[in-house]
Amino acid sequence: MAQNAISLGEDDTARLNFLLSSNEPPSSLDIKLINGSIEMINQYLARLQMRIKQYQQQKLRYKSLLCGVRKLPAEILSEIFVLCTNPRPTIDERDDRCVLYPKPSDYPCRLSQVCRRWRDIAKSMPSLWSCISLPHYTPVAQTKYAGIVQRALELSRQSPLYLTLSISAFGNREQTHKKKIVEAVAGTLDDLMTQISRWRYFDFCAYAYCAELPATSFPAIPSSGAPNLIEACFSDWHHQDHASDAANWTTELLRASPNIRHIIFNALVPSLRVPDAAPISWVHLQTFEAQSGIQIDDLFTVFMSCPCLQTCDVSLDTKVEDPFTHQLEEGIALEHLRTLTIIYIREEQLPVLLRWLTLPSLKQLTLEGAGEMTDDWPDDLFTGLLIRSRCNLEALSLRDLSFSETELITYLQLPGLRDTLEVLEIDQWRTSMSTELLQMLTFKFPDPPPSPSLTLSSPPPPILELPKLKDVTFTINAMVQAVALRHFVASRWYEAARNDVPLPVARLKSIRVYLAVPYVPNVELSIEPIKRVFSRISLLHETQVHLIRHIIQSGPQEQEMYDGIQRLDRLPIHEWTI
Amino acid sequence: MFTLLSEDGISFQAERDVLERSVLLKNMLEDVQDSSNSIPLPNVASAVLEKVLHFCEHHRGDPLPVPEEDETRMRKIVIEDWDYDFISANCDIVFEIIMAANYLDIKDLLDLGCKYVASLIKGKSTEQIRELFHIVNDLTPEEEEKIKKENQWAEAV
Repeated sequence: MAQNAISLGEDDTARLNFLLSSNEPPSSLDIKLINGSIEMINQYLARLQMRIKQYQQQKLRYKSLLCGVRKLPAEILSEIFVLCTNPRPTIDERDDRCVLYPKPSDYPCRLSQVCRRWRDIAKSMPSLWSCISLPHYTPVAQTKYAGIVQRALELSRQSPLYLTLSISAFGNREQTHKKKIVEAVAGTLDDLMTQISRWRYFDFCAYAYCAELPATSFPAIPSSGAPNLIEACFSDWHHQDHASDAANWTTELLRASPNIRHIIFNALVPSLRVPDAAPISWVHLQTFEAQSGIQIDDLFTVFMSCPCLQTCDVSLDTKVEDPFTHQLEEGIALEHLRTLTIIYIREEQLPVLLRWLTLPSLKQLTLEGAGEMTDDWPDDLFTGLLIRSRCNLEALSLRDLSFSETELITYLQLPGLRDTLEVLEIDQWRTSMSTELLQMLTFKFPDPPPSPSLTLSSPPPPILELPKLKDVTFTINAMVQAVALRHFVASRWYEAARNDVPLPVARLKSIRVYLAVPYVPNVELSIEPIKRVFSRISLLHETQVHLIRHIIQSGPQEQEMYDGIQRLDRLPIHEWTI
Repeated sequence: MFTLLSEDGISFQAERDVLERSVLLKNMLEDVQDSSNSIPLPNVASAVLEKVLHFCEHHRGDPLPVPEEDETRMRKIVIEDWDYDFISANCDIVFEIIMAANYLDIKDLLDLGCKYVASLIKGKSTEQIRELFHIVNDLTPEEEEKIKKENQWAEAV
């Protein structure tokens, strides 16, 4: 090997061969010769390794000629690139909003750095660059993001934009620092504003610091508006003030988005009524959600502005006085509304909600009181809504409202409920629920045997038939209604279980009972004995019975609860076994 | 039964409903009444055609995939167990399978191949992607410099 590469003189070679074939110690001259020879071999090996590397690279180049990826047409490679990048956010599947996107390590950038062909293909795909997520942690964020914004706007060409902006980590910083961060957001918005006509999806989140969001001037919305904005979500944007700078800017943006289809507020809904401005017209809006409070005036603005509304899920604002100021001369018919959920309704707001709406397509209705209801339930208005709407409800949930048992039974016998209702939820733990109602809510009684005396003296009690009912949830006060619950279990299901009698409601598959028990320090109130009875029933009849303990904090009903506990001691609950 | 003739002259037999997973073959079969004539597939090698027919045989009777409403919408990579086993067992010819699926217009097989390749790319650095697919970095120093400049902002964040 080394003969050709390492040129030693004949004498030196002979001397080294002699040393190798003997045990004579090398002299100082020999050592010099040996080290020199080793050095020459090392140099030769380095040259060889370089050659090997060159050959390997050569081999790789030849191999790459055969590799299939080279043969893939650009349209298939584009498809693969799309699959490599993050899915576009939708309002129902939002990304982590604190993550910067796209970074150099993210796939649109990474793919564009592999080779020239991949770079050309990646850069020619506007959809690859149309998602931008910019979390603002520092006052200089806007300056640092200028590059990414400019590049994304450039490469996405005319493609719709999916924008996520967030503010986070204010911490305990001083007000001037916070203000600078919010100004940075306003600056970023200003950079993006040039392309507002391309905005398709806009998600703004101010994590947890909304109450302190400093007043800032946000960029004006161009008169051309955001004609392509389809989905918008605002989280923690402003909680304290319906008319802050941020709130007003939000209103302005939404008012300029005539084609919006889905709005979510995880923040206080800003005042939607603007004096001297044209009425809002969201003719395509299908879903409106407001989880942190909306004024009833604004809710009616939504009702009046959105003829195609299909889903409305809101919490009313409980923090402020909320007078109803709309001058309505006739009712509002929402022909397409299928799901209506309104929670935290105050007593004085109920008549407004029930009087003016007609909802012929309604399938799911959820109403929840604000917890301060008196017994003044507007029975005639609620019945009027159901009869006027001629809807066929599939799900009804009434929580913390003050209707009576008789009224509830009347509602359940209305044609629009009786024949179509599949899911029923009643949460009225503050008032007692009779054994009869419990029985009615869970299965139909067999016809009572005819009794001449009963027939003569009074009509037979109504039989509640809910032929499609499959899921029932109710919350009862486990303490106050322990007697009723015991009778209910023992008299009906206990016997049914023992005798293996099928439940009369064949479709009923799930019964969920929230057993409201008060929070008592150092006392564990167990519902295990009740659970054992129900679990035996479930096994026999394939009806899932879920018993859930629902701890109630101290409140107006505290005394009633404690009375219940005292009575519990006198009840043989611990003997409830089959 | 119909006979397919691969690029390298090997014959394969398959039933109509298997072959109709391919839009190209479905259209061809509409014109072919006599099943005794073999259908030549000059762009598909026998090793690949065998796998393609195996896939079509397994998915015989499945509803054909419908075009998505929004084709540009980015999708998640979800691969059924059997499909994953099939494509990963044939990873050495995955690009040939993709090309054949593209030629024969078998949308679900094409999607599967693309998703599999995307799953191979995901999680890898630029250099690892090059190594995986034997791609030569042919970017010029000027282009490299431009990329570096493009990424400079990120170092400041």
